[in-house]
Amino acid sequence: MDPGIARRFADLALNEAERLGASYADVRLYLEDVGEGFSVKDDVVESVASDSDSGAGIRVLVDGAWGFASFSDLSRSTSTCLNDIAAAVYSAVQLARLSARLRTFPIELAPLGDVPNEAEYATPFRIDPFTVPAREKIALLRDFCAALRSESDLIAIRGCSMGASRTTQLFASTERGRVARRYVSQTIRHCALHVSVVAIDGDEMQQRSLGGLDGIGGAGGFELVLSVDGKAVAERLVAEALELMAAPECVPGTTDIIVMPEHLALHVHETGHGFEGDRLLGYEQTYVGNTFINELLDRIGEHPFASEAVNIVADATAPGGYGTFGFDDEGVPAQRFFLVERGTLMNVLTSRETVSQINRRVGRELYRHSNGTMRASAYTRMPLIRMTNISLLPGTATLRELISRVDRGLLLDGTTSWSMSEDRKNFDFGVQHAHEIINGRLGRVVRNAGYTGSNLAFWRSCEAVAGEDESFVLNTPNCGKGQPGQSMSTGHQASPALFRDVQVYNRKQRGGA
Amino acid sequence: MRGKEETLSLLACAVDEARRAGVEGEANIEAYRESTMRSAWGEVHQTPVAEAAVLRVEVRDGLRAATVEIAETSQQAIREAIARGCALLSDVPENPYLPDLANQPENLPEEILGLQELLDFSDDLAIKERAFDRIRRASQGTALTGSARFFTAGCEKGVANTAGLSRYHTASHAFLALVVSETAGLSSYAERAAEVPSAVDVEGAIEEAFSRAALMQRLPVLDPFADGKGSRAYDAIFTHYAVGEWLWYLSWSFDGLSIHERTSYLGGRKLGDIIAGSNVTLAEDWRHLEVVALPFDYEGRTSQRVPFIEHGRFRGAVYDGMSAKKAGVESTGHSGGARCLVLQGGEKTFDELIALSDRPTVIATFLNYPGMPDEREAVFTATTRYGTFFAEDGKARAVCPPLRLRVRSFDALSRIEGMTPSHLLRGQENYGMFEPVSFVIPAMRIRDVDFVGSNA
Repeated sequence: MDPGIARRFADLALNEAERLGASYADVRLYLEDVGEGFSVKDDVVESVASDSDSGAGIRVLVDGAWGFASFSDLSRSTSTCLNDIAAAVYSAVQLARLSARLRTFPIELAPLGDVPNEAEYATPFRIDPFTVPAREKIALLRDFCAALRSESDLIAIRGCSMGASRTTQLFASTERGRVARRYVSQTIRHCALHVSVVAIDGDEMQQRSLGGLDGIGGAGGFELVLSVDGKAVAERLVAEALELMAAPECVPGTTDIIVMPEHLALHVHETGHGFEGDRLLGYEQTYVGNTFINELLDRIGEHPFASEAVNIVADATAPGGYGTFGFDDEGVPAQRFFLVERGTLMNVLTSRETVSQINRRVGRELYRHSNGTMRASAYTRMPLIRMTNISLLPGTATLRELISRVDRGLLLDGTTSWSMSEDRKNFDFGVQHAHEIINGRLGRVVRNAGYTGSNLAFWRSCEAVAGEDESFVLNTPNCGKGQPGQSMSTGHQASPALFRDVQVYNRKQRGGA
Repeated sequence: MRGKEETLSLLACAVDEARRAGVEGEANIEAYRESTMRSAWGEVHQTPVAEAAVLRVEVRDGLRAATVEIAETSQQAIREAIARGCALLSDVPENPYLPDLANQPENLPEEILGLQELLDFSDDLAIKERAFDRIRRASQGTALTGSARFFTAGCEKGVANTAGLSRYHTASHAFLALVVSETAGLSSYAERAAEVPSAVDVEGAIEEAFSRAALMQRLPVLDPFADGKGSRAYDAIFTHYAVGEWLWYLSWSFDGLSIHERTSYLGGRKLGDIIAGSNVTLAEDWRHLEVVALPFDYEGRTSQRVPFIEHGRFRGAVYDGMSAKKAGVESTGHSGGARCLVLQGGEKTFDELIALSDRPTVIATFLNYPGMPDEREAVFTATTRYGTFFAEDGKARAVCPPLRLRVRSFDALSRIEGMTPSHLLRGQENYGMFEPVSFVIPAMRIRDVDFVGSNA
């Protein structure tokens, strides 16, 4: 779309909102939202798909309450779109007025601070996946799938898929008391690859996958897919799946565990939800839940959340992360800050709206500005506080050293399942692959392992974290939150880490519950 | 939304453009309008509305297929989408499992033809305002606060293809989820669903959630795991909500593809095998009067009533076109999966289920964020939420922190000791498009459920 027309659409929305009494308004124009996906299963190309979308979401603050409305298809005539924008603003203002009647205090926005009035951001990339011919992508996937073949008839399902997206958005806002309007243009690019194999024999089923359960992904281009040595990956996955089929059962009990980053990053993800400022304020009471951070909030900056080995950052600037952007959906610049530093609870994720409410909760000015975590999954959705790249920072150990510290324990890798209590206190994860550790050395592979327990106790039991060289970045494409539901991409780096005295179980309930 | 005539006209345009491009094809439209109001600690914080539509066109040449999805619906946009699909098509190898295009069914039953009206929700916001105001008033004079989300949506779906198929239907759905909380961490829950917002039983939800919260306030707190003895089995009573969360996960075991591929518990089992207790009868049935009716699937095939379990015996599974071709069976018209689950209930009241507690029993109101640690054996885990009670000697004696359970689902289905009558449980909103899921299910009492830890 011509940038002048996009600016005209944005200005009309803001003009109308101001005219109808909004103290704040923002519009997010999804000028282009394109994607593609390819999947191959057991050598058959099952799906080749391309999609495109456009539309606008308009959020207004009137009488201290939000209203939001949206519409799709910006490819129609300019006059039609202008009419739809005006109608959406009117609808949003009416909804805000209705909401205001159902509130006892007004929503206040934290000051923006020193931010540019106009800005642009684009995800760096080397190879545009949309310029790579479909036949090359299909051939690559078929090669991956062929490499997963095995002489063993236990290998039952071989699957590979890849996907890419590119979203260009214009954010614009107006605010009473601020002279200039703000305009932020961003183009975000993601690319992902999934490779997995499933072995089955009777009631026994074992899966191994590349990276996390959803594969690997990142902000960037097709170079991510090309960086994978498909043959080596396939050989490893098949060998491990078959090894698991013949392995003895994981024995339930309390033991030391080393969690490999491909799975530990998901544990970081699930813990990270607890730091969301809107959960703190009960915004997700009626759906995904609350957070145990509520009990710790008044001791922020001093509370021992975890052991000293644990440093967790929120970093929306990390190169290649699914949670990387230039500005959030309130126009706040991307930031990097500690959630947990040397084990101490340091921060939560905030938005402009939650700052004042969190400050009131703790009885002091904990925050002055938003730390920039508001994102919406689409133009049809209001932005929510979403994790950016929430990562466990590397330590100084090596995996070999971690193993050498364990007398009896397990090394756990790959995700099978995940489940959390609504306040994120209690967790339960199933893992794909486990090794026994005996007297500081890796032992047999055991199958059907899982671990469960109290999240605070888990992080406090972390004795050491391995270094950057052994880290992995898990990019989660489909983190769910909010009602109506929103699926968001987030990133999580982790390194292997050692945890003491964790409850391990058998996923099939063999040997007890 | 466009209504039947305009939707079918758009689909006809897409089909014509495919023919003009020299390919076969199938076009699919999903359009929706949805409106939500949410509150936190009694304060309304979100009131979004959204209206959107997606046109999906699959172009085919023999056994090769490519799909293009667009939000734009001008003839030019449709033409460009088909050209894009055709360009992809030249790179796509044959898929031996590509299902045949569905033919137009003859003599469509009346209940299908009747589902074509766009419902008017003009009173939606007024109903929500009254409901939230009523919830606020119910909190007054108590230490409790009611927070809610009230969702309403209407959708229309259409499918057409170059084999002559042209179908259209509408659906609507409304539900209220109410959470009653106390600052000490107590929370209670109730929900009510209906076809239209005016039919949602707001008073019923208020009564249920506030009375459960009041019971929690009166009872002492007990953490059964405070003894440090680890996992143990208790009898359990699941409310409708808890059964719904469990059943939603369990329904994946009845997906035809997972059975064919043997990743499901039912893979390798034969129709007629005993897989649950004789008191269990479960079906996928969009014709049930209480569910959100979904008469045909994305491929345009009429959705069949599919019995999953009859009196404990395995009876069937759902298939879409591709999974049916792989398994060598007929599609049941479920390319979107099972979404209208009906579990036959019993005749006991919920209080009668509690009265059967001659052994220590956990009453679970809701199961939060479940997972399936082992899909092949349908091992299910979750923590309880919104009110967990400990019952003994026929009565609720204490309120517990959330407890984690882990069960082998089909084994547990063999230990059901009593059920209430079934009733409608909410549909679920999905992520970006209105695709209702509705259950008609009972509350139930189950013997020997494994609980493995507490949230304290």
